Amino acid sequence: MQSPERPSPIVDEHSQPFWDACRQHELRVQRCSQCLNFQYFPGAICRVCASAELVWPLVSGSATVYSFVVVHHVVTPGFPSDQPYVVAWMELPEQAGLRILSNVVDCPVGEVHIGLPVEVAFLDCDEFTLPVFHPLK
Amino acid sequence: MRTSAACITGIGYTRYSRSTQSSLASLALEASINAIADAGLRIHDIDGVVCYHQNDSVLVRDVSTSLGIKELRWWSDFLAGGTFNCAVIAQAAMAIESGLANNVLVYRALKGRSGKRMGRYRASLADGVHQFMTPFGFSSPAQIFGMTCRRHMHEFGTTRVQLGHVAVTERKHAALNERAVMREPLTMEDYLAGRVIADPYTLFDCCQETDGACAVVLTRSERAKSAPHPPVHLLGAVHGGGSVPRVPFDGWPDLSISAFPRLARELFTQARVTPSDIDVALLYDAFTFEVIQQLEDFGFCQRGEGGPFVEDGNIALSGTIPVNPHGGLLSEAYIHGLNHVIEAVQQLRMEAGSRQVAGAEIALVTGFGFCAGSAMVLGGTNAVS
Repeated sequence: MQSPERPSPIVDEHSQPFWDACRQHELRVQRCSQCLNFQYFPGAICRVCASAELVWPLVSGSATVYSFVVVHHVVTPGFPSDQPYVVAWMELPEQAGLRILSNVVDCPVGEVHIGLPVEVAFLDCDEFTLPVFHPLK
Repeated sequence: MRTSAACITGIGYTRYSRSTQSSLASLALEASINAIADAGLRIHDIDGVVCYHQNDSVLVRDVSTSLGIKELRWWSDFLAGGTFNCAVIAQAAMAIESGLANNVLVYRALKGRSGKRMGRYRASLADGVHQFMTPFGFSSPAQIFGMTCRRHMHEFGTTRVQLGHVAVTERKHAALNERAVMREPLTMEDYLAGRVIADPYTLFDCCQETDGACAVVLTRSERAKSAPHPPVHLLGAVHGGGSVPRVPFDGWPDLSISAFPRLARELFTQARVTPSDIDVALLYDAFTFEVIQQLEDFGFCQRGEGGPFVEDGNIALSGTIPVNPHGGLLSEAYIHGLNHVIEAVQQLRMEAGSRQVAGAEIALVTGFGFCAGSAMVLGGTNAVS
């Protein structure tokens, strides 16, 4: 599925490994090599210990919906105005409180709920690839 | 004994509307000139000017130039939104207290409906943190803050009807306020039939977008005694955030707990008040749920009990803690919360007419942003001994 009109992420030095991995259909999350803390969104240094020694390990790709909104009033280019969609904070099993923000897809919007188990899939657009999540089959 | 180095002596505002022919600069000037006159000052008495800007706005240097201020001693432009409505008052007071200025003008002007709209804020630009948001169709305040409401509903059973009580109550208040943009009655049925914006938020959960301007003048307390109106004292102010003070609170530990319980404790300690001392609360209400959360955060009720608390009528003009007698951002106007400051001053001056809270001596004003923001306690003449 192509969504060429969606806003393109403006990649920077700290996010480049994330977006490069997505292009390869891999979900990698920034982690501190000193205190082993995962963090999302990525940053220049570890939020816990301030180390700049950050690595990008592969994560399992499974997650649980922590909170979500169903967007009906669409303001983002590339999203059809008549198709409500779900944006969720999803908690990853790798670390308590580690959450990623993305869409829950391949699921009727009325069936999304807190606690729903999901797993990652990848949405290839022309210039970039987005990690999205669908209910665990 | 409470003390206050600086007082609010002047307030000014324009007509609030959904569309004005006036320029942004004209709105800022009109509100500013009104506030300066209300303080009993002349333009050349103003030696400090401060504003906060997010989305539509006009810079301090433009407003100062247009006003013809001759000797500007202190000014500041903050890149911040409605969470700065109290911070900017505190900054003005700090400038006065430290001797940098004597009479400070605070203003906020925006054509938030006919100009740049907050609901479309950064809808298509995906830089910085927005690269992890916008490509997923996530940018508007309703979407971002809706996440916290959902979590509260999940943990505490907060209901749509309880959210509706906030909207309906504030609309009733607005009916008593000639300034309010939305004054027609809103029933619970109307509320529940509102179209969905970002579920759990529907139309009447979301504040308006407004064209208009507000301005406030602060003066050194010893000079305030000669002002035309009773001075309103700044008894305390906080301005800070939690462990992730940026939107959209990525990495926030628990989306049902905001940064404000700590800020509230620090504010009340500073102002030497408790929640029961607050006569009227001007709570930042970009969305209905924020009122419920702040009632908990500031200790008017227990955590998780904000929903039943509003359902029981506690926030009405006749309730235990009247909230937003002017109608709030939901029904009066969205002037990024500076209109809350205007209303607090009118209440403490006993100038609020049919929406006056009887015996209002101490007011709480907030700029709630979940992860960060500001708040202050204001006192009328009798509150300072």
